[in-house]
Amino acid sequence: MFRSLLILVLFLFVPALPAAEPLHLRINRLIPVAANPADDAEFLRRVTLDLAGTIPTAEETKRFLADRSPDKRTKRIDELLTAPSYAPRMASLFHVMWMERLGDSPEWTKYLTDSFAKNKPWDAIAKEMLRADGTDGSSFFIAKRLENYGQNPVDYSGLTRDIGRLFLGKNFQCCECHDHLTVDEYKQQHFQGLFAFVRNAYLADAKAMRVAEKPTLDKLAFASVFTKVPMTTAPALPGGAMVEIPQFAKGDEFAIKPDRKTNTVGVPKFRTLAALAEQLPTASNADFSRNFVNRVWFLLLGRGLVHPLDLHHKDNPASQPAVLELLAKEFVEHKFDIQWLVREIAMTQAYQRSSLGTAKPESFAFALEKRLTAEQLLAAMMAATESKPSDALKAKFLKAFANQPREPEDEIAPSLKAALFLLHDKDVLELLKPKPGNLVDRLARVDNTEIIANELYVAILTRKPTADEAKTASNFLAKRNDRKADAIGKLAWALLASTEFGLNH
Amino acid sequence: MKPPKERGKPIVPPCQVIRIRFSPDGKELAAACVDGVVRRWSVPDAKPLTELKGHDGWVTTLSYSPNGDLLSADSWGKLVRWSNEKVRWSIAAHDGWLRAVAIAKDRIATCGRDGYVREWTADGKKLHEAQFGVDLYSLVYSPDGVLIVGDLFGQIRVLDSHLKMLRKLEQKEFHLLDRIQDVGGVRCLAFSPDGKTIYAAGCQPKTGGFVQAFPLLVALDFATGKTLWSWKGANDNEGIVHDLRVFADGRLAAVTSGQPGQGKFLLFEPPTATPAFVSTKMPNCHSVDIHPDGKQIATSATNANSSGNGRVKGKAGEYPENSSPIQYWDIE
Amino acid sequence: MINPFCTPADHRLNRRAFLGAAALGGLATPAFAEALRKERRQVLFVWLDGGISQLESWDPKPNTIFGGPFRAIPTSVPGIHISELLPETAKQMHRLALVRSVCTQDNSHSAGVDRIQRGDPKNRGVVYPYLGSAMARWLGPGTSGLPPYIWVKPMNGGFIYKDAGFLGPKYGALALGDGKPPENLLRPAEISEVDDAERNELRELADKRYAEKRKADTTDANSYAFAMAAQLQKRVELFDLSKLPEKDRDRYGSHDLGRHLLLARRLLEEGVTFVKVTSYGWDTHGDNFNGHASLVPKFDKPFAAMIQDLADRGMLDNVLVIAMSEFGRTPRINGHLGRDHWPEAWSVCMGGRGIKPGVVAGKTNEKGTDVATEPHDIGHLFHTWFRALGVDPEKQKYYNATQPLPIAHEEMHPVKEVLA
Repeated sequence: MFRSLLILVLFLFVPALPAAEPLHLRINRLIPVAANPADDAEFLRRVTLDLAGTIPTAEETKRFLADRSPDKRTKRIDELLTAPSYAPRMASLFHVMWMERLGDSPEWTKYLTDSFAKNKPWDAIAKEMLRADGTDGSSFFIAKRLENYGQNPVDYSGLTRDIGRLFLGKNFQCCECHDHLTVDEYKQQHFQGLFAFVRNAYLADAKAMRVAEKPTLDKLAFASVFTKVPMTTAPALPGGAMVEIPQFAKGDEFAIKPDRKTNTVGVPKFRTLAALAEQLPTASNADFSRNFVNRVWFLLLGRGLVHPLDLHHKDNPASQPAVLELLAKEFVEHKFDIQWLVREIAMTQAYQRSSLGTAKPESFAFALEKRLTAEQLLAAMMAATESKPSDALKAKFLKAFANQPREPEDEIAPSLKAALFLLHDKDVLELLKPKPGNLVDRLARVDNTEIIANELYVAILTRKPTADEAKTASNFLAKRNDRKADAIGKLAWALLASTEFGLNH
Repeated sequence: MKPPKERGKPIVPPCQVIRIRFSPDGKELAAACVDGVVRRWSVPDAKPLTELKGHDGWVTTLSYSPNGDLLSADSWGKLVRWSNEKVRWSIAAHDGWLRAVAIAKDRIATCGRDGYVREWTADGKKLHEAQFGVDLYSLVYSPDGVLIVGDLFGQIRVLDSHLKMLRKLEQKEFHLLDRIQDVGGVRCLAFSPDGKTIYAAGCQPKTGGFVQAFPLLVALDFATGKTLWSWKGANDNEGIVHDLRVFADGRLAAVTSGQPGQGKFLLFEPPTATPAFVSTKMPNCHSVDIHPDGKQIATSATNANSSGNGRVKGKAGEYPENSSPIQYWDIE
Repeated sequence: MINPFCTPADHRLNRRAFLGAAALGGLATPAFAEALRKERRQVLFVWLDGGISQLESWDPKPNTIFGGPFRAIPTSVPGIHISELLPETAKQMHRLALVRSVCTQDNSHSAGVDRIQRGDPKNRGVVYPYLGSAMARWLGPGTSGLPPYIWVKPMNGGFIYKDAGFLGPKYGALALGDGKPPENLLRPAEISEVDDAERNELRELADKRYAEKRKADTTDANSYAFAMAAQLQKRVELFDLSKLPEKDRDRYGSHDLGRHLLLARRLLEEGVTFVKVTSYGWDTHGDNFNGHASLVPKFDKPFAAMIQDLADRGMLDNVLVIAMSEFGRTPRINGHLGRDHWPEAWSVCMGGRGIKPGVVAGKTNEKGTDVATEPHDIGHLFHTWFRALGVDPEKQKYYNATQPLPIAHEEMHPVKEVLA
């Protein structure tokens, strides 16, 4: 009674906030102003890579640079959010974040794409992913982690860890066997409570990605390797109450009884994954909303407000705590509206700053360089060279640029493998030969070397060359008049293989 | 065939056993042990008889001569002839692992890891030798006294009376180069009572996380070398046929140990390629023998829970040793 | 404060700093780096994956209950006996040292392979680098122009970043699958050397301009990757197994391990800092004795040839040689006539740079079921190897962001008996 009264009181105070002012303006006030906005070209490339997963075409770039309207950036953001490219880009981005290159499936891709196309709220998506009983591909997150890989047993610890990391922003890996040695807030109970939600899940049909559960009848027993004191836990969110495990008469645990003869997969009356899906993605779970807004901030700004992303705790506070709290609160109030969140962050001054200069990254005083996924690189290279992708090329790009499974792609990591790929792969080199309709072919028909230089930079780097750059290119071309297409190919290759092209700055 | 029945409780020797054999009079059973001792028991009352000592490494093989003398050999290459529990002679027959001994009317043949086949007189004098450059696993005389030798690579060589190779029967399925390990080999050779059929046994190896194997038994026509029939275990974890014996009436007894399965005791009625009897009651058998009366069989197996990573502890907290329980079976 | 412990994600904070700050070596202090450069220090690491049996190799117990069928043979060092399966290595014993008192913690492959090769100080919460990555870090690439950590192995090759742990991908392994060169190493014929130089010059200029007003980390890391690519291309012949001398091919053997060890010799001759050679298939849970009868001689011959060749070339003064597995095998012989995993009491063979030749450290009890002297965990061995190579674990530390981390278990020390 007293508690509900308290909630009521709190609730009454909420409308007093200036809800009408857009969130991005409030964020602008919270992050100290630095007088270094990105120029139009830098903004255009950044936002297009972020929201469409590719770079703008040369034509788009020219049009945008020529546009004199004061709200052209807002218009560009809104165009990209409603363009057909938005849902596939979000699907790809979140796929890489959630699956960490464990694998892919067409159903999962479709599920994600449909969800983002409908702007399905984050709590609804999370619920479906955690319930893992959908037939629409939503079970993939859990199902893939219930596979055996090689001769190893199912990595339940990894699944438990990933739910903590990716849904709550807390990595409880070190708490499997004892309380965290140095993060006071992370307890063994937290790991084990989460583990109790998933420990009876198994993959009933790997091909159909069908997740099933054995009945959970008892609490999970565990003990710290240090104290050896025996403990038990029912499924429980970190810091939350234990779920009551309902008791059934023996033989009465199943809603659908398993039957080997008819290949019927059993469904227990008490499904712990369903309980997890009920409890975790809620408005009252601050970890849930904080983690997501922090991750979207990271995806767009190149660094989490809390960083590393999976280490939310009091000794590792957000670099801009008020921004994080505001984002989280408003995200809940906007009913976990992902597109709204993306738009508001993209509208901030912090997002639209220049990457020139140096400062502490956590100040967000300058734009941080962001890694391009293999998928973005492929799309960008196709757009730049005015070519069409193929499945074979996509596979090659994944091999050359994607991380190993289970390794988050959260930082820029140039590699020998990628360098050799750009240097020598036949299909990459083909892109730089004149073919009807491609960039090199188009520019080989132009006589003026300055125009060629200009076009190269606009098409590949989404900006005009500096005077020095234009001069270098013109001189290079002038000396190779007899083999112009080849020279253009070389200039194009050098830009495609450059650091600038390989990241989102 | 009526299935054989286990008789009584097994004899449990104090260590693992590589080979067991009945004496020709049927009154004793001898076991070649990994502690270098030949242990014997009276049949059927299983009273321990004098232990025969003097071997190094493992006692690897045992053969009784028709007069009741026992020939035992070890993994360090020594061959010993025992008469009435006394060493009649003892010779350094091979360099290292002596793998098989065969006895003909007037000769004894041995082969080993050193690649040699040697023939000896009944007094232990060397008659002939031949070097084949491969690990030689098994050898047997035909009823007519023709010597055949099986090797690691699945080759069965037919030798003349001076150990020159007459011909070679290739049985490649007995061998696999797994990564850098040559695996498999013709582990057992036997002739049918009429001498017309060769039985070769061992395994067909398969690459897995580690080497695994299907047990394999192949019946070959001695004259032509053609395969008459063969039996392969259903699973690649059933392991290796370690011992194969032939009844006077032509039936076969075989035992396998798993890899990593549990192994079997099998009986065959040639030319039927399907086993007439299979028992998995005795895990990981390494030897089998048929009593001269044809009514009893002995198998040596391994105790339960014989494997495990790391420091396994026995009941008293000690580091455990395994043993090879020897079980009698009655058969009609 | 960002917590440095128990946070596997933490190390990633620092990767870019490492990538950027390091030229090729990435050493702790310039003075120390200079001291190391004065002489080449290299490692040959032979990894017998699955677990060679100590009883059928370095620590035979002939005529005991668990001793198995094989004999022990004398070696070139009076008083030291090893298994008869190692006749050639026995002749090289005066150049080698054995530690027979190894006692480690993990009896599963998945844990063992990782923990042994990472020499993992416990409860640090970061993923430690494999020995090869650690040595790439401490010894640098030298002047070979080749990556500091090359791994010759059967089957697939590639760029194995995970070995580097928190040091970051740059210290990962370049794996030559079956000795073959990495994918895309060869420049297509259509691009001439001049073409290649031209386009790379343009690329470098583009990077230089991009970095002018920004932090140089990313462009440095990118340049490093392209520089390594260029260096490797100049040495394509190194990866051609058919170009190995025929006489040596006979001495080393035509099987994978023989060919790969011979390739390793060439890489060491070229100055590669750390060469790992892996042989798979040593997990003899079944038929252990026939298995080792076939396997061990295929290690013995090329390994002994390698020691002889390194000695002939004066390279044992530079090259630390280590031959080991993730654990040994149980004394107890199981029902499959196999031996299972055994971290409790096993042996490691080493020699060359910094190692006292012809000695045995530690011993096991009569049956081989326990270490009878001071037990040595993997940390002791890491201390030994670092010392042998002139890297002092008391003085040197890793820095993960600002957090100092020991390079080997703090509570452990080297096996002094085998240090020169």
